Amino acid sequence: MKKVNNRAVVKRIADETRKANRGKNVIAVLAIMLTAILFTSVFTIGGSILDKTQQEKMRSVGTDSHAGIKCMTMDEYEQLKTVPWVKNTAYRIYVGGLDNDELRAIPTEVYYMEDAEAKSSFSYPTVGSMPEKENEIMTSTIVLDALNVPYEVGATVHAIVAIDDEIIEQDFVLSGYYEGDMISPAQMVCVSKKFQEKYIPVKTNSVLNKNIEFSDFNGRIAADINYYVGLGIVQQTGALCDKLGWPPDMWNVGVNWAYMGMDLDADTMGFFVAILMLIIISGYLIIYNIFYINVYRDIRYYGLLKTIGTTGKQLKKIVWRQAYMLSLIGIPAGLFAGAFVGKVLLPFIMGELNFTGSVDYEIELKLWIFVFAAAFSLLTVYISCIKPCRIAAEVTAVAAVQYTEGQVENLIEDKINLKRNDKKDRKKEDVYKYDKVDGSKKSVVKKKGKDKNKEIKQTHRVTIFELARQNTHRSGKKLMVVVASLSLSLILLNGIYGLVIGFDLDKYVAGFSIADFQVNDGVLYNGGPGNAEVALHGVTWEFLSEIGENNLIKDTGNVYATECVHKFTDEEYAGFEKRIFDNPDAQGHLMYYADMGYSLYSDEVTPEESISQIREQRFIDGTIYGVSDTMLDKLENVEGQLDVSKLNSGNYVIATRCEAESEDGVDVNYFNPGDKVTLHNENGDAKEYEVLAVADINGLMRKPWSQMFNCEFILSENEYLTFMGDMQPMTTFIDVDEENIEGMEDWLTNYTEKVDTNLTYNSKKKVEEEFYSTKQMYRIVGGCLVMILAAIGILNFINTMITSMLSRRQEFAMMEAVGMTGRQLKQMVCLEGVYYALYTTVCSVVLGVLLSATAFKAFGEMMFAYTWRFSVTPILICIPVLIAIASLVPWIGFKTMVKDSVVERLRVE
Amino acid sequence: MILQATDLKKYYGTDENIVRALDGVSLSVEKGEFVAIVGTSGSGKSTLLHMLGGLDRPTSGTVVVDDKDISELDEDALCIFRRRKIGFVFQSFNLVPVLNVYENVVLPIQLDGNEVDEEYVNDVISVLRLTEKLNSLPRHLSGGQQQRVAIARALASKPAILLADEPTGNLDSKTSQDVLGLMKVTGERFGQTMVMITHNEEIAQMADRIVRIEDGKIV
Repeated sequence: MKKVNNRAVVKRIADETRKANRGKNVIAVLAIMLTAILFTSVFTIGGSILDKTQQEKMRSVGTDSHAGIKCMTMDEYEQLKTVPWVKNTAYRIYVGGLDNDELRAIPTEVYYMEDAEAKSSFSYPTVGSMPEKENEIMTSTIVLDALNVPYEVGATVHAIVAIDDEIIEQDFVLSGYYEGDMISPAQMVCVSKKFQEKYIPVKTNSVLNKNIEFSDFNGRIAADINYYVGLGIVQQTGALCDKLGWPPDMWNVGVNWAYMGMDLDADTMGFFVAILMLIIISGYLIIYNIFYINVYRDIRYYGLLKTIGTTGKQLKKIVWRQAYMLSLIGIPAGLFAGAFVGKVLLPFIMGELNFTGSVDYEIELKLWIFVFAAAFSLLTVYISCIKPCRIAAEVTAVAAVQYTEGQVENLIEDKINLKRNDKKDRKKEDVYKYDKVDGSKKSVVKKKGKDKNKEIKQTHRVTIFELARQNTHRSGKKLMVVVASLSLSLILLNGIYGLVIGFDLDKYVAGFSIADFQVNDGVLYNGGPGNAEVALHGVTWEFLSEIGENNLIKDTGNVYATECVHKFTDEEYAGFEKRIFDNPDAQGHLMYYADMGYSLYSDEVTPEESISQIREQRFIDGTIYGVSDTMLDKLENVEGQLDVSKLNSGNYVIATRCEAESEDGVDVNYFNPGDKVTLHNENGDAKEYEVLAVADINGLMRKPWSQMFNCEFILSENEYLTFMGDMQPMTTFIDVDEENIEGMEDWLTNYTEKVDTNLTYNSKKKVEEEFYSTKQMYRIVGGCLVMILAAIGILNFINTMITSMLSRRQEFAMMEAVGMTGRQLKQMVCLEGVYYALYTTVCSVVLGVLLSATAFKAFGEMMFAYTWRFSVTPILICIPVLIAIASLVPWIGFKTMVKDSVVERLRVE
Repeated sequence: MILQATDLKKYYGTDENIVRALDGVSLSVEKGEFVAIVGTSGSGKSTLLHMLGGLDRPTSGTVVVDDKDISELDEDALCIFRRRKIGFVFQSFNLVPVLNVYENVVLPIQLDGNEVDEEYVNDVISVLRLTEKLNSLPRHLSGGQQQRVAIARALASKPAILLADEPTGNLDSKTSQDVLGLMKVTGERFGQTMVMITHNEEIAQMADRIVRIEDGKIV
């Protein structure tokens, strides 16, 4: 077949058609823009959250490099550089740790670091420079604070450096410092190359010889590695070990888990997908409607084009080109506006997600955000144009000429019916062949002939109301689309309102505070298991003695915690095996945790293997708590008699439950009241206790991370301190009288900000504030979403109403000619709007109530502290507004239309 | 005298570019008369019809219909006057697409809030041979049928005058004869005054009287 180059002419027709409809284009561009705004802001916010999460993970890992290998020799390090897929490497050399008393609670590591290494481990000096002279030192503001050194380059830092068995105590000169970050695993202390070479030259025996100790870090190189590609880091690292001839699973090789896929849970993903779907639907409803209306309005024109030989395919292209030319304006505009909206909303959302430390709310406008947002917007435009394109492509000249509003659908449907007949009855092929211009005429006439008797309309008394109702029904599809578009925002508004009012202050406060005040070390909730030493013993004796003297306080209670490995006695294990491992209900939980990497052993072990190892070795991880008498009543679901005096006798312990829920929803007991358990302290001493009761520990009294098994034991405060040794509590709870709340709040604020900055406190008041700010976030974010959706809905309505009126110009003029007064016409068009509003009301009330009781309720119950409440008020409040808008738009439209005289409007175009 | 137009002038534009669509036309029509106004396109015949029907206002001159000077009426009053006294038939049939035949016919009466004179309307409908089609929608009718509905609609409110603007302009000649024949019969049957404009001499011959118009003047 000969190729005809007609692209240019198709393009020109499309562009001319587009230019001829400037007014309509504004609405289409606005619609596309609104859609793009929604996508961009969702992606900006979602992307920023992912980004910040990843950054926070990196900060807690301590590096942004892809992988790291510890304990290398210089030779081994040099070999790394020969690996082709390694982009760059940087190293640090372990020197030792700081042994100053002031740093007891702050883990420090002393290194010589390359500049690049310091940068990638977030410890490059923000002020000053890296150390060069032997007596220079660079460290974090946290270390400087602890050592009481001013933030000044050149200041003297008295440091005690422990290198293996050697202690070097000397005055260093501060060459620079960086902003310390509590969530990083250790504070970096950098010394110069000279210092390192003098005291601990790089060791040359390789870990591969297996003759070195685990703890023999000092004088060894730790390398950070970046690959060219940030994906498949585990595989790349495996291949790297392979190439260097290292055995797999070396303990000293690690990958940065901040790069390991985003661990978004299914709920968050589902929510994100739901939002995207919502935007696609609302975008579809308006863009589809606009192009649908445009194509029908221009149907004669497309029919004409077809008559003179434009193929269906070309017509499709003409419509599609108009759509994407408009997208070319709408999408970029939407991207920018959306980035702005996202930027405004971000602080509210980020404030809610509780990132640690210095989180800036600056948006990073990444390219991918725009690419994705643009792609999704274009996808929406594309989906919206499928049907309008098809209509334009399938239109026939005859059908087009007979067009009046609401009628072409019939003709097209006739055609579809004909196609069906066509398949059924091959003999009639010639008559029904539709694509031939002359053939089509016959079939339409024939089909119409059949229809004549079918489609009759019952006679009603003609009133303005009746006319308006009939007019809204002209195109059922258009009515549906506009009603759906308007209802969407109302239903969502109703749902969000339901979520906001359902958000329960009492539940929230009860969930986040069990006393008026709670004091603990800042790392408890931010540091993770890596900082257990500090986190679990963070409330200082100084603080305890201060509050002992504070007369504002009514009651205090302490919770102590120590992580332990619980070794079973044979008798204990028999009961444990029966209740947990042999319990079919608990299997799912065990496998889940074993699979989640909570395994006690390495990742290479399958969950089954991990479990069977536990069964062989007969010990599990756990925690021993010491709890003040005043806090015992905060234990939940107590089984057995919780006799305080018995507990204080020192021979009793309270056991807890395994989180492995059995089918009936009850957690399984590790031990039952009356069982004997033997606990071990950190010195290895053992003591047998009798289980007094079984209970669940309130989340706020627990350490905030968990292991595969949280086999917890609760001792009385005295017994704990006697058996486990004297130590600082993890958390201290304080109750005060109502009138002293504010005084105490001030006292604690002062103490945690001025006296001991490591301590943080939480109070009922703070929780309440948090509650209101969370509520506010839902309001603002939800409000913005509703507003944009409402804008889309209203825009859709305006477009539909105005185009409908314009296409009926002549009809209106005729009605005036036969005696309908301007007032009556105006009433009629306003009533048409009111009908739209009424249908929207019915639709949104029915669906709104339905969804409020199902989907929104389910979503709310996923949130903490939510009590479902029936709501329909927002819709009811919006109805008058809706009716006002719905009648105002046609009224204004009509006013502009009747500027021309009847005679002018009557004229056939 | 049911219709009396005196010295009607309609000027468009200003000074040099002035277009005299009507330039001093006077016309009177007796009750029951069937008048055809004939002229070439651009001769001013449509403008004259619009003036007579109160769709447009003259630059000067008066139109008196049924002893009422319509140039004194405001827009809404004019509109009400139209639906009570004037029946229009247009070249493009101009039916309301969402209403069926019967509803279209009685539309002007019901807009006026009046009860339909069923007997009369049925009479008109049967004379125009539309009885079978009462419940059909306009889009299922042929052109001739649609124009007959338009005529029925124009007659339904028993107007003082029926004004027809090229009523057969969109119809083939066979159908045109048909429709006009029915129009004439109906007019005679109900004693209806009718003014029709056309550029077709043959059609004009069916009228009682022919008025020729050229360059805005009656010749």
